[in-house]
Amino acid sequence: MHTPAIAIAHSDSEYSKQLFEQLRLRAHFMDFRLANGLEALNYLINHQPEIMILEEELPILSAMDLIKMANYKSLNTQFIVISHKSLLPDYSDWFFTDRPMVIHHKENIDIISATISHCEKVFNAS
Amino acid sequence: MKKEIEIIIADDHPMLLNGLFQELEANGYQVTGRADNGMRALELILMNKPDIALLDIDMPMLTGFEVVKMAKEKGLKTKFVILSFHKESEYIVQAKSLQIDGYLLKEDPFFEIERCIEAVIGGNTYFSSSFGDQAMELASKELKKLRLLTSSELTILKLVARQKSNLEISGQLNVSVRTIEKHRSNIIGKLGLEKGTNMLTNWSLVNKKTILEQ
Repeated sequence: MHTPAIAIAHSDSEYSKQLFEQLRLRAHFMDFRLANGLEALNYLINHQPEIMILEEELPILSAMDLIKMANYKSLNTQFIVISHKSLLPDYSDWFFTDRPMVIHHKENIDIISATISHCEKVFNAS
Repeated sequence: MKKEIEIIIADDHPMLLNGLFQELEANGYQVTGRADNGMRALELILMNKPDIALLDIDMPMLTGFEVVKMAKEKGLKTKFVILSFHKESEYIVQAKSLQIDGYLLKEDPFFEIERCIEAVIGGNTYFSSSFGDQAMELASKELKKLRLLTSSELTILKLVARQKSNLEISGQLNVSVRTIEKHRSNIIGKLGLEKGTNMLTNWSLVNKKTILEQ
C-alpha cells in the first residue's frame, strides 16, 4: 500500500515542528513544512502532495483560498484544516466538491493521526 | 499622472516581458514589478497592491485568470488587464465572468495599452478593439445563458464539468438518476445546445473554468 506524502502549512513554527515530528513517529510520511499561504500554494502546485494539513487562517492566503484553487485546478490533494475557532467552520455548501476535514487545534495527536489515516485510506481507494 | 500609476507586469516569455517593461517605462509609467510566472505575479500583487496588473494568460504554475481569481478574492482594488494572444470566445467569456477590467491582444499597438490603462483607472472596462462587436456580443450571450440556470442546475453543471457521471452526481446530491437526467435536459434547453449524448459534457469541458467561476 502506498503511503501518501503529507505537507504541513502553519504559521506557528513550534506547533508545526511538534506536529511534524509526532506524526512521523506514528509512521506517517511527513514530507515538508511551510509557514504561510503563498509558500503553501507554491508547494501545492509544484509538488501536489497527497495530503496537506493547513492552518485555517494562514498568513497571506488562507486554507480556503488554497483549497478553492486546488479544486479549480482539479488537483487530487486531500486537505485537513486546523482551526482555532471554538465553533468549527461549516462547509456544507461545498457539496459539489471534496470537502476538507476540519480539526480543532487543541485536538490531541491521536485524533489528528486517525484523521490522516482516514485520508490515507480514501487516497489509496481512489 | 502616469508616474503615479503603479503597474505590475507578468509574462513567461522574457523578450515580451522586457519589451513591455521598456515600452511602459519609456512612456512614463511606473512598473513596480515584473514576474515570469503566475505564482510570482500573485506574490507581487498581494505584497505591492499595484494600481494595475497586466497579465498574460498562459503562464507556469498559475494562469493569468487564476491569479486574478485569487487576488480578487482577497478584496484587492488592483485593476486587472489581460494581455494575450488568445482571441477565442471562451477566453472572453471567462474574462467577463471574472469581471476583468481590461483584455488586450499582444498584436495591439502600444496606444491601445495606454487607452486601456486610462479607461480602467477611470473605473471603466476596456476590451481590445480587435475583438469586434460580434465576439463581444457572443461572449455576453453565453454568459447570460449560464445565468438562466437555477442553483440546482448550476451545481449539476459544475459536477458535469468535473466529469462526474449521472450516477455519481445522483449519489452526491441524494436524488435519483432520473432527476439528474431531467435537470440535464433543462440545462441543454437553456444553454441552447443541440440534443445528443455528449453535447453537454463536451460543452462543459470547453467552458469548464467559466462554469466553475459561477
